[in-house]
Amino acid sequence: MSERTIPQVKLESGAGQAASRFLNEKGIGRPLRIDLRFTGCCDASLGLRVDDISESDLYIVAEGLIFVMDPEVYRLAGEVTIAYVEEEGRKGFMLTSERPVSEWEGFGVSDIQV
Amino acid sequence: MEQYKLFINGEFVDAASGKTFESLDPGTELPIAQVAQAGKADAEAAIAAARKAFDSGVWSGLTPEARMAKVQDFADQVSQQALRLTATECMDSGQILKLAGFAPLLGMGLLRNLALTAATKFPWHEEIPVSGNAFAPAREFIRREPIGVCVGIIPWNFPMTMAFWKLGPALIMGNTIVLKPATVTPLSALILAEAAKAAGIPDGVVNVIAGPGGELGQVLCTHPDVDKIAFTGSTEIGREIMRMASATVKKVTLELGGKSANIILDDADMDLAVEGACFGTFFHQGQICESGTRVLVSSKIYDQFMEKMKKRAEALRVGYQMDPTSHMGPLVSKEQLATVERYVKIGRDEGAELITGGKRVEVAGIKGGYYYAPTIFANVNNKMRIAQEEIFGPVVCVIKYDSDEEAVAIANDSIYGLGGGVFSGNTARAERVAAGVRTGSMWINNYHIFADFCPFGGYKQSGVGRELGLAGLHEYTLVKRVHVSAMADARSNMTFQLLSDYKKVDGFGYNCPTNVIAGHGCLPSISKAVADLGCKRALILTDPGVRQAGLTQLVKDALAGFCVGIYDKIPADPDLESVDAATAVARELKADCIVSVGGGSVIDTAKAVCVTLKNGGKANDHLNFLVLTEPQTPHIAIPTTSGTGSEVTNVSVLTSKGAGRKLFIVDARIMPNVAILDPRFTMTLPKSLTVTTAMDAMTHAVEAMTSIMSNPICDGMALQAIRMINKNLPLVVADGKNEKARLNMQIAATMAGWAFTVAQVGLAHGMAHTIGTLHHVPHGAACGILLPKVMRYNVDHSADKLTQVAQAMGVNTTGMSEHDAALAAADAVEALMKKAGHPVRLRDVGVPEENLPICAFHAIADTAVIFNGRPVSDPNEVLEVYKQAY
Repeated sequence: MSERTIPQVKLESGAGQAASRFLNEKGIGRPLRIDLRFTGCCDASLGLRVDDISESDLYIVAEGLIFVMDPEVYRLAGEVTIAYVEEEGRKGFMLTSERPVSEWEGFGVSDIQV
Repeated sequence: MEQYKLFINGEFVDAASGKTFESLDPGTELPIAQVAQAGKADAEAAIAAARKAFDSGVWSGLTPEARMAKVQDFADQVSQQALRLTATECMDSGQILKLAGFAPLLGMGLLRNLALTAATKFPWHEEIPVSGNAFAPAREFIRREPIGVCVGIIPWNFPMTMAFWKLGPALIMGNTIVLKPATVTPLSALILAEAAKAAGIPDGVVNVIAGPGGELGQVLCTHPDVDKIAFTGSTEIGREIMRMASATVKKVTLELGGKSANIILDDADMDLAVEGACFGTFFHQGQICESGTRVLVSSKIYDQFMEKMKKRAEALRVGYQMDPTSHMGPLVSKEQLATVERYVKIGRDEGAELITGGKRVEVAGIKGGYYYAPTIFANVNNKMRIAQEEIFGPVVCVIKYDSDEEAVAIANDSIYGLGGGVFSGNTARAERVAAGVRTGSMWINNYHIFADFCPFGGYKQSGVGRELGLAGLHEYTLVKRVHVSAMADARSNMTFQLLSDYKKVDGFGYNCPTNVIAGHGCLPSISKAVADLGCKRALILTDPGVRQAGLTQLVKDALAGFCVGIYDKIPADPDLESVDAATAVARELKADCIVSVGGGSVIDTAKAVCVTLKNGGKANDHLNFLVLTEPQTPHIAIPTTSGTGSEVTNVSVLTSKGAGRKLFIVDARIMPNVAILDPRFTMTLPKSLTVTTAMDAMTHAVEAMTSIMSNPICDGMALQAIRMINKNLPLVVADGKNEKARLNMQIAATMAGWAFTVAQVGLAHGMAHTIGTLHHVPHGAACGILLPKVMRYNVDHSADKLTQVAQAMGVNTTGMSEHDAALAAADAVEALMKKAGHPVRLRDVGVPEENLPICAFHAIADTAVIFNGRPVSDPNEVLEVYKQAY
């Protein structure tokens, strides 16, 4: 394992396929960044964004997908688990981490940002 | 270290799981308190306590005044804890001391202000003076009631203030509440719980549980015993809360994120604008939802502004929040710090120019802490992520613009719409710009100002609903409308009869307040009538024919000094435009009284003018049924025909070109105040008009008798009118100068008017309205031709009433069956018409036979048809009547 590798990104059942499906539908062949972001007023969360890998990024390949993370984000959050939720009125990716970035982790779902 | 427990059902308790967590001082990263960590069981217990307290009425059942007294006690207890609250808030949230010191003071003020408003100004009970439903007379009123169990979920940026914003309105409006503070800043809410207990607020009314939102949120937002959720926080979480709440249709108010634009116009006071831009962004380290984190600066002043703003930002002192010299304290947590740093990196990667800041700050004497320097990005493009996504830290994006329109467009190019500002030396210009921005609050030459009576909330993805002000109090109530039927009788209920074969409406109300003055030479009473009405400026409305006949001059002379003008352009078939034209003249002359001299067209126009003059706007604004709540411009009617009855009726009939039919104003308040029946005014009425207007009156009387709304008072009026018409019409036809007969005809028309204004008319009028609109057949002539045919159509449903009509017409009904007597009534009316020379066929008045089918379709939709004695629903039946009349 290189020093630029994220030790682990755990993909729960169906999450990898959902992400691949999204990228294929959009005709995108780029990595997915696990990023820290705000969606307004208090409480950051982790989300997925299509992005390019930069020199300082950590990365890992899981289920054929390349996941990248800024080392500072990894230092803050630790290992990340990605689930895909598909139920009535609620569809999207749920990211939780070894060290939760906010008390609302595991509550909301989000789409992949392009 | 201080210990804090959960507050559930009036007691401070440990978490059911026994778990605790530590709350840290963000300025030192050191723990300052140990707090019980609520889990699912605690959330359920709190909800159960709130539910029980609400349902018991121990709080919701109090009057607003009684609740105000208790809330005042609560405010007093907050005052007792003010110092402790300030210090705790400062240490727990990182607010600088000066800011934290305001919170208890503002909170006490909010409690007292809103409690007083709720007790003295809030419309808990509201009578509805006019319901808007003409078919169901009733007393209508609204009760506003508490919603029930409310959940308040608050963020960490202003923990105490947000607690007040949720606790205060919920309690004041009679609800119970479960408050969940943010896990990183739970302490001030728990101290407020102590104050609530000390104030004697009943057990279960206030509950405060601290714990992770991810675990508690599901319970709080889906529990069936929760009625309302008020959430302040991120849009992502707010969206999820709204979704969860929808399963049980809970009421939801959300105050979410923002990326507000602070617009600096080129005429702004530069020093003020720089201070405003810095305050708008860096106050409380930028951790405020409505911060002006996009500063839009006019290109004309950009360079000068940037130089000053950089200097000002660099002069801000970042330090420990309890140091009274600090301008900015730490960010609330390491996660917050990491996120801000992430966005600064993104901004650099996107090509924005970092002018100052962009780094952590080390505070002398403090090891650790989450301090960040005020950061300014210049040359930002509004499409950049740092311009679109909320950073929630001391980071501002400065964007250049050229015109006010461009500034507004940039401001609106955001998914958020929470706050915003305009700095300008020109208030009118600033207000124009403010009006263009789609956002919930706009500050002009200021920022971050909140006030208890001023509502706050977002447009677009910044939220739903409002907090503070009356609007905020309304969010904590539900509206119940109560209808008390005027008639507790099935047979007086028009709508119940849709399921009944009984089609008559038995109950009635008789309200005909017109002062009728009748007799030879009664015209001079008009000046006293005007004086008694308190008027001084009477405008005469009339038509060219009446003026030419010299009748208007008589009235003008009788009015003497009260008359301010004559408007004689009322057409034979008035439409909305003719009302507006007459109203314009009345406004110009500042008329305070309208005197109508003419037939039904003039009097109906005058009624509409009185309404439009009183209420403003145009005639088309007032085509309503039973909505007026006060007296209209006074109206004195002097009829010059003996038919319309309009001088005493509650209806004004006007043609609407837009609707392609006649529309009505119906209201007791449009009945003329005075009707003067001076026979001189009908002496010159030509024979043909005398006859057709008489048949209009006859139709009023007969249809009032056979209407489903007929009643004994109106029957009496109608029958006497029929007798008088039957006797006096031939006399007037024989000698138009027979003044006594003329007067009797006027009185008969007025009595028929009284009869139908309460009892309504029926199919003959519906059919007459239609051929009047489509083929310009004069109303009286149309009514006369159709009346006997409609009487026969109605015979099986109105035989008893038509028998009385026959008797009033002089028919000897002895030995006749009711059916035959009813038919005899129709025959008698036809005989009278023929004797008087009234046209008896539609073809004689220019109605084309091929148009009869379309007339039938229009007639069946006329309002008058609803009241016909025989139910009318088949246009083919109406066509058959038209054909019989053709």
